[in-house]
Amino acid sequence: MFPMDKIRTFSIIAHIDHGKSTLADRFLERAGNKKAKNIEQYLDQMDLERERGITIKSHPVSLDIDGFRFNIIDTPGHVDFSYEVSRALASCEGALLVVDATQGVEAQTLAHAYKAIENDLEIIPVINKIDLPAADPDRVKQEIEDLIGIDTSDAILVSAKMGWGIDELIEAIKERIPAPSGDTEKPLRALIFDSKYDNYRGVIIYVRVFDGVIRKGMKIKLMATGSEYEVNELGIFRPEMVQTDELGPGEVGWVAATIKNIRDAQVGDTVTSAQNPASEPIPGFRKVKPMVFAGLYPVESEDFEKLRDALQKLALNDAALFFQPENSPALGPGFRCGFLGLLHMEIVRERLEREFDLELVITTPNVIYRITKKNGEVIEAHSPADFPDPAEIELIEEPYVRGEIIVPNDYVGPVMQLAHNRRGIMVHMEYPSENRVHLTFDLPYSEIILDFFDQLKSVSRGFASFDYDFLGYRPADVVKVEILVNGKPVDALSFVAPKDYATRRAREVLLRLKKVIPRQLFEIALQAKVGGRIVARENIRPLKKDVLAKCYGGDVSRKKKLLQKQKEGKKRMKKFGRISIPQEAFLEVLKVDSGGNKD
Amino acid sequence: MRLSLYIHIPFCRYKCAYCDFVSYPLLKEDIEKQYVDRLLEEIDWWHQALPDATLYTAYIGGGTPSALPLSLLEKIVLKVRKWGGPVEFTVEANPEDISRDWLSHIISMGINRVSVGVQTLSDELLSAWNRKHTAKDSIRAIEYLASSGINFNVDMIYPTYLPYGISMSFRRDIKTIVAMKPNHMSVYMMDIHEGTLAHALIRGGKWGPVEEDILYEDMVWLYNFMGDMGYHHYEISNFALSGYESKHNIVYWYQDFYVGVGVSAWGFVNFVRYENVPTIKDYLQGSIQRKHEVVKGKDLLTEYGLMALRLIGEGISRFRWERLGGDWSILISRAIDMECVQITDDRLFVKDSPECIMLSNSVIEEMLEPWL
Repeated sequence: MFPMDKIRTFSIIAHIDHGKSTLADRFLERAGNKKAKNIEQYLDQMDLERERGITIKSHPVSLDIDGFRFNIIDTPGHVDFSYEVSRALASCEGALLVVDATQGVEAQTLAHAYKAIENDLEIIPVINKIDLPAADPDRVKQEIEDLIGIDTSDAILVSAKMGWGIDELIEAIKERIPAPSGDTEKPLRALIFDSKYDNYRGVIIYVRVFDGVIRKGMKIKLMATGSEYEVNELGIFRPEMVQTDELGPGEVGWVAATIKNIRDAQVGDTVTSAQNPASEPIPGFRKVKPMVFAGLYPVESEDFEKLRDALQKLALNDAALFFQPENSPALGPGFRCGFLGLLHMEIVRERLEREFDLELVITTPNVIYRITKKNGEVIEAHSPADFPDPAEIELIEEPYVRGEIIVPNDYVGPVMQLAHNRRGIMVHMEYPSENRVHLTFDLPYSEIILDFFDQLKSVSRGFASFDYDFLGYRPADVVKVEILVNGKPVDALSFVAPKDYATRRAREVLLRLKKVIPRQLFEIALQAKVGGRIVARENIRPLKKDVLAKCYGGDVSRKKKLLQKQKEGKKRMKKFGRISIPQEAFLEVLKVDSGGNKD
Repeated sequence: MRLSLYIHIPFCRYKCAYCDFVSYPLLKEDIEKQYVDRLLEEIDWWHQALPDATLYTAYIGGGTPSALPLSLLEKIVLKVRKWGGPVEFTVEANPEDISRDWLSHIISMGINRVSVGVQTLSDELLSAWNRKHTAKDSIRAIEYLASSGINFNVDMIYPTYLPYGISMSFRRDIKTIVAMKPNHMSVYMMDIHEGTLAHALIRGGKWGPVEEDILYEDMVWLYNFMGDMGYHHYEISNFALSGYESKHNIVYWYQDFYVGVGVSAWGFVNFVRYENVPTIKDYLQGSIQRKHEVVKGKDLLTEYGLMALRLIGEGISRFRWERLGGDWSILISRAIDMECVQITDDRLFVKDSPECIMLSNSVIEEMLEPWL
């Protein structure tokens, strides 16, 4: 057991590219970890994380520096995983708030910093990249004070790249971040802040011990589910997993206890002793709840079982992934899947296609609508197909978020216009520094799930940053828009839209579908229907000319190869009778280009 | 065994803007001589390898075979005739090379068919395409051909792209030529290949596409007009007076065997398809075949389908399809709802209507998908 007064547990909060990993590298070097040229090679273990430059899982590491034990708990870097972020922060006593001296505070930094404050963490402001000529630490300090409201008089100025200010920072961590307070004699209480599935050892849980001691061979109990297990192995992260005999108060490590199902070891749950259980769990536990739903369908219906197996395998390591079979009249058998957000959805789709070699059609993602019927019954609509007849509906509610946007002054106009088009209501506006504006909007979640961030980047030339938090449900004046292809409704293309904009969006959707659906041998009629009325219509002209002039000697083998290649490309199209609809079509539906103007 | 022979002459006086064939400028006579010597050796080699084969048709294509000195052309023709036959012996020619004298020479050698590359009767287009002859040369050449009594084909191109400022003369051209009664006509829509001058000009914004509707209307007009004038539209791009369909082309489309000799020539012999080396340097140094594959099973079936469906009103024969291992009922089931496919007891073909012919690619793809 490591002496508690020498333990410092903290997280590093930073916007992408503000220098988190370089700083972590410096700590690793100071701990004498010569192998660790680049901490990222340990930390970002998934290919997808590396490719996208974001962290999805928590990656803890315990480093021994000057007789102290630094537990650094890395946090997921995307709003889809904000609950995981909050649990990771709940496992810490402090946080380093790293801000790029040339850039200033960004929206994501803000969101994480607010969470750290909520968790009562000691925050050390760290101004990084002070070696750069454009560094302006005083302006950045001012921004931190204005936006986050913490004192920056003792902010540490560093250059992680050059190694400047690292000693000072290490001293500040020792002095300012509190040592954990815990009691080895009390019943065990350890917080699960992440977990992963290992083929040999079952679920491995990542824990922070608050009270008591967890030992090898001990019988433990997970308080939310009540299930009990025996600890087979435990240890700490160096960052690779190293075995130890026990973990005491303030320690951060891993535990393997042949837990078969990742859903039995949920993030936020409390581990206690089965013999001598704690009376109260660590507060803040919440069951993972998917926020976005979409249909996943195999392009070839016979791949349905393969998709089921793949989803089951992925779910072993992903407690947030929900799926249940559904049958679409248009797409055949598939699954309605629940995700934490769009990024989570994208990750799952990519893994299914890459690791399991599946060709998938993914339908328009939607939020969960809460519908109160005239007879008083309340239902949750996970897909437009769940919408009851309009005559039976008393009230529809949809989830709202509070969005924080930080943007240079010059782009305030377009950003406000964009938020307005997405039914955003401005609740706050402030100027943290002369040239930057902090805007706060309440927005329907449905308006931001698909392309809001892309649009925001495009209207601000990439300068705006954005983050959000859930507010809860608010009444929504929305209707279901059905899309018909050659007179037949295609459920997978249906969507929900605000009543005032429904016709306009229906027209836009049809125009976009017209662009992505290739011309075929016959005319294709696209129609949009709201409440029994056709509100928009587009025709895709049939192909007129598709003829190959010459076919002599070697042409036939070239032609054959070309056709074979085309056939491969077509695999990503879903066939409705003879009509081929490419996969992109299903995602085109949710993109919004106008929106603001009522019909 | 019945066999056809294709002979490639890769020399040209100039390179047409749209051309992506292998061709070399006519520079040194000794290179041509060496090339022809190698051709003769290759023909000999095949003759010895296939002693029982009888020559059915022969075709000298290019390039510009008419640009070869007559003495060299004669060497080739004599070599072919030594093998025996052929019943149809075609040579390709450019209009500016066709004189009464030249014609009487090749006829006396034993050539009985000429394919003349007229392409267009617009002098503006000819010059934009970098062709060094005029419409007048073409008319004169066709007059000579017609009066000589030899079988001849006129090659025409439909410009799918036009240089800005130049207008289309297509319908007028076709009428003018048909009035001179060639017994065979080929009309190809211009394909744009990467690496050609045409491709660069399109990318550079000098040429623009002809609107699809105009192209479509012109093709509908062409198919109807040729029919009215008594021509049999027997393959997508080919029209012939009855009995004058190109025997050599039909060899390709029926999967009959043919030997190809010369640079970049293809051949199909005993179900082996081979391709010769693409550069004259390699060819002269004696390395000839670049690659070959055995075409069998599903590939043989698919290729049959691909070519047969291009034959208008003829299409896939049930007998042959089944002999090649194809399932007739699956094929028939693909045709349900396809307006452009017609089925009889023993055949399945693309309907002889301009609309359907214009879509033949998509129709063929749709029909043959399970076998691709």
